[in-house]
Amino acid sequence: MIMENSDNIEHKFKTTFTDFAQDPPSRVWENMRNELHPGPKPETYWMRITGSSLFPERRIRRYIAFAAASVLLFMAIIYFASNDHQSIRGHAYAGETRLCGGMAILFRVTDKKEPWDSVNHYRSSLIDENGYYTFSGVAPGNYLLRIMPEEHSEASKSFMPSWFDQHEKPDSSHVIAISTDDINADVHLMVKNPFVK
Amino acid sequence: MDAEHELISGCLNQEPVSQEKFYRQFAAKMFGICLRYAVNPMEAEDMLQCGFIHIFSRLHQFRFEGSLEGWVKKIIIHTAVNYCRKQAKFQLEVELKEDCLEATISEDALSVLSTKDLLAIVQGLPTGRRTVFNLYVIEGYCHREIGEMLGISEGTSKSQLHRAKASIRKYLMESER
Repeated sequence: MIMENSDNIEHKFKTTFTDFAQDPPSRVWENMRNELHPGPKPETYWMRITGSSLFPERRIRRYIAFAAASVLLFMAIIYFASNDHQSIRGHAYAGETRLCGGMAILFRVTDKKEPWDSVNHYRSSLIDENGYYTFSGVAPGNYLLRIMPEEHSEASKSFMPSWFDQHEKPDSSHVIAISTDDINADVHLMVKNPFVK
Repeated sequence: MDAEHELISGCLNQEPVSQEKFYRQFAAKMFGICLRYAVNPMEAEDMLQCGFIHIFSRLHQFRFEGSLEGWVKKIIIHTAVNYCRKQAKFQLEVELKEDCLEATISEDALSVLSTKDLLAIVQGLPTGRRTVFNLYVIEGYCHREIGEMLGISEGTSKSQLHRAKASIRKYLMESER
């Protein structure tokens, strides 16, 4: 049957599709559910560590706090008790000018009455271009200090190695006593006897 | 409280169980609508998902004055139409031969077509014609309403429908031979 069928086509489609239904794939709901209820992203996980989260019992927290404070106090006592070392520092002079380079040598004296007989090398320090030397962390005790100008320097031509303070020999030199304070010891080199080579 | 109120209430409280139940209740029918507006099933899935997201976000606007299914269907259709609008402009650039515009199709040719065939014919139409055809023939909107929905003139809507039918006739003629 032939018919002028614009209405016919419309009718066919309308009747076919009015109650047309087809189940969508399950992924549609899965995607939608993820969009409606997005889970937390991995990078948004944070762990808040607090005293109460680690140790829920208050009594335990108190013990731990007390123990930590005791350890800190003990460490502080040890630190301050061991920190009784002082420093010896000063300038070395060659006449009126500061010695430019050289060596400062510190000797420890065990017997103050006979210093030279009981002397032991303790430490050495370089003298800088401003004549400055320093020994830090020196243990309490008695010391002798010797300053030596740099070999073949201008100062070495006119000045001789000297003991603190301006002594040629150690047995007559001044004993530096270290107890609780830092020592500032400027040393003046002795002038060489021009007639003695 | 009846089942529908309870279901909507659960969805408004963002309860996943209620939302899934709601979705399952309407999904098949709404997917059928989306298939008519889409070029392929994948596009229809996108439309359906987008439509249901809109539905869940606007569910508080449902006043229980009409049927829930009608309200859901309306949003799905609007979502599908908007989707189509983004895909293509409604143009009249394709000229059809006069014999297609005026051709007659035998009733037998129509009667042998299955739902799947008809769906393939609709999906094969250009976006503009397909959308207008769906809105006018299946959904029952008038040309003025279609024009407002698609942002086109009433004349353009009529023309698109005319050409949609011509395209269908052409297809049927070819398949009849």
